[in-house]
Amino acid sequence: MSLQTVPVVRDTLAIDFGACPPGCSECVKACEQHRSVARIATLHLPEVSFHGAITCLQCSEPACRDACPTGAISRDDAGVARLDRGRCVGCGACAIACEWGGISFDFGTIRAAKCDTCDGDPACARACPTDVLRWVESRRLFERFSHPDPFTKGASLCPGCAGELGFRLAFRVIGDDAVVFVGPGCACALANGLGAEATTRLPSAMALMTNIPSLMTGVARRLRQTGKRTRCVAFVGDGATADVGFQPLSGAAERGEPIVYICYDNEGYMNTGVQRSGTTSHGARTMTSPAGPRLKGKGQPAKEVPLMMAFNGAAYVATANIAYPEDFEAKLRRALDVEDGLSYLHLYSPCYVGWESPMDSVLQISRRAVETRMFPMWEADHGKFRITHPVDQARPIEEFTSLIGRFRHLGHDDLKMLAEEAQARYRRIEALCQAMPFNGR
Amino acid sequence: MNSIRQHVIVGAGTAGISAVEALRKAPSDDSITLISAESDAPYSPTVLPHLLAGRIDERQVALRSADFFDRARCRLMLGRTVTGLDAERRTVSLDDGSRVSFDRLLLAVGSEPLMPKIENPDRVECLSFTRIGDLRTLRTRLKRGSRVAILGAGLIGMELADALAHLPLGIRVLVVEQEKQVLPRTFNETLADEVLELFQNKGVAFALGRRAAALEKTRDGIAVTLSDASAHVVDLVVACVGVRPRIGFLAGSGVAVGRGILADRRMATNLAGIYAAGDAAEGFSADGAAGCHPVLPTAAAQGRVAGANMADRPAGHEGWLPANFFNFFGKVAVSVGDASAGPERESLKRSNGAGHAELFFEGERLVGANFLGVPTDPGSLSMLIKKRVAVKEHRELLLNRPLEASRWLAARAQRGERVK
Repeated sequence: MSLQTVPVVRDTLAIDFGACPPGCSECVKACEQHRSVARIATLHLPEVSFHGAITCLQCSEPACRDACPTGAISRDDAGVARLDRGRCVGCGACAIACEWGGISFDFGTIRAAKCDTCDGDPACARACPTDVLRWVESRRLFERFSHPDPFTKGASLCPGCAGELGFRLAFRVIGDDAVVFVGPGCACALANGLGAEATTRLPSAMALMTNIPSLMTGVARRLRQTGKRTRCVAFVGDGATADVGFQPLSGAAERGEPIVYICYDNEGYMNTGVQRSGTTSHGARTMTSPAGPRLKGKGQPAKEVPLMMAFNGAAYVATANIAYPEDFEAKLRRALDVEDGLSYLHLYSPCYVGWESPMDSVLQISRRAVETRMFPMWEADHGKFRITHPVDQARPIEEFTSLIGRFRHLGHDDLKMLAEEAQARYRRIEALCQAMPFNGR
Repeated sequence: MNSIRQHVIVGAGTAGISAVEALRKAPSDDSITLISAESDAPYSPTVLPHLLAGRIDERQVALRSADFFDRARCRLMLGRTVTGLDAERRTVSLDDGSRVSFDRLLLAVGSEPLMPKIENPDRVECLSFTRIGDLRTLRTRLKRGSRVAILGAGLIGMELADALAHLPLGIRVLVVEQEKQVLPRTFNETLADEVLELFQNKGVAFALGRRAAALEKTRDGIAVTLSDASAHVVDLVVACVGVRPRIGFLAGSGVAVGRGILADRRMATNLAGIYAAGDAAEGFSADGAAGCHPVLPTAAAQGRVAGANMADRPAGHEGWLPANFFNFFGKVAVSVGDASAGPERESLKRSNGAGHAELFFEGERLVGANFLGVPTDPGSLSMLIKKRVAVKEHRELLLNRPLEASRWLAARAQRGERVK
């Protein structure tokens, strides 16, 4: 087979959705002029004060292409889904299949139309009088994360570690004005590094499992006394958070210490050989909750530390998940903004070593944990709750557990129980959102 | 880590091809064999009325370009019908007596036309309209001024009537339907009446609330006697009373079947390593009800899920939602979800000379919608129904500006924002 050169760095149409000036339709006019039938639409809904533009997102697996009965839609090597209008019969299958408003069906000629990016020079972006439509190199979308590498000597974490992804993203958001705190655990490499060299660029301190928030309290108060806004941010595992070090954390929250505490939850004592912790999932097999003829892994459901914190005086509490990086970023920014009390972030961090999963599976596990409702995504801002990623219909629990070896011994009934517990957990959060609704900051 | 597997896919329609794509998403040396009963390059039967009406020609309807199967390293066996399955020996047998071995098998065998129960002592030819061969037969039989009786005013029957009315041959069409309306279970009565009028204005005749009881050869043509004893003489009879999954060859194979091949959300059958997708599969609706759903987007989605699972990438089908889109003489008719009245349901209607829109709500959520002659976005509406998004607060906006409002609401929900 002959090999082709296709640039893998691509440009893309970036749309700031909902930021259009009321009544403006320059993009639609330009598209019509250029392509006869507009492939971009404006949504002007003054009734709800919404003004936005919408067009095809150029999916990597376009549902419109798969549903088209004449093969009129194909995806080219540049990643653009193209519609050959000469082969369109107007059956509407693409418009049914696309749930993103990406098909511009022309109800006049009764044929479909869709954006082909004008082959990389979209007329709509040129015509846009604002910054709503921009044609950009896709990698530039991520420039806001282009902070220098937070590690100086590399990180001594396992390759494929979910925690490391979380740390890297968090460091890029935190910036330069912060002190990092860790305790014994995987993240202590952030402070200690390998040998004597610290591996983070930020000043860092390692405490004991039992006194991390206490140490942070002292440092934070001293920094304030000297007129500095420098934030104190902790990266602590679930063992030190939920079990060994819960008392000082609870105390700091109750006292309203303005510190940011991130618990990276890998559900066990992973760097000491996989022992169970308070947040280990019900039924999970660990060295201290084995599975055999009599025992079926851990016999108790996990502690819900974020809920405990929400009712323990913390000003801001959120769950986060590295499979949803923008959401994690937004929550961390909010946590760093809060100064009238403790911010607690609970970061879901599957450990493929301790969970007996493939090395490349942590993102998929993280996503499935949300989609099956095993890990609800929510935040409580000064006692007001909201679900930040609603899961209206849970995926079957097997789609989560089948990725994780430490659930392998569970039978049908055990999985059913796990699924029911997950539903109950999610509904509990929903009930809180109803009882104490969030209506903006 | 994995040994090389042999994947066999029976059926080269939309579901089968989506499965090939899903199987080839990740690199592997697994082999793929796609077996099709058709001799033509893989196509979708959805194109048949459009081919008949001349909106497109036969050279333009291949589902994938000629090099697709080479690039996908997929062996294509055309013109071979699978006649049996030996799940123990893991082979399928073909109509030429040969066998093909598999490690994993996808049954994407599609559907076959139902034949109406009808007295037919003269063995009058009763055509069907589900395969490209049917189209070719029909074309050779059609003459200027032919009189055609279509049995059934469902999706296929109405598309066929529309195509025949478009041909410049002066064909006279009679549609016989035992329900009292056209497109039963797809559109409610109000819209069905509008659609009926569109067809009648183009000269298509209807016999509703009656079924064809007998066919007889006469000197003048074929006499179709209806259940009310009226008789109509025509030249051709096309049965479009519905389709059923093509599952006859599975008898005794051990694969569990109901109306179709029973499949779970992973599109797995009761037998390990054997999957089903598309028209032949009895999967689940978005509401969790078991059933077959023979339409394109469902076939594509189920094929993708089956292919991913065959390649050991766990995936689940979110469930299908009824959605239909028609172009009847320049007017678009759209139905999404369950657009029927019910005790717990509230409906909202808007009607003027140009078009009709009707929305159905249950509690806070939309459950169904019908439109005729009103621009809308069926994909966005499907998303709102499937994901049970609370939208009732914006019902007036949805009713009056369905295209914009459905896209706005769906886009918000896609971004994880609750609608206030």
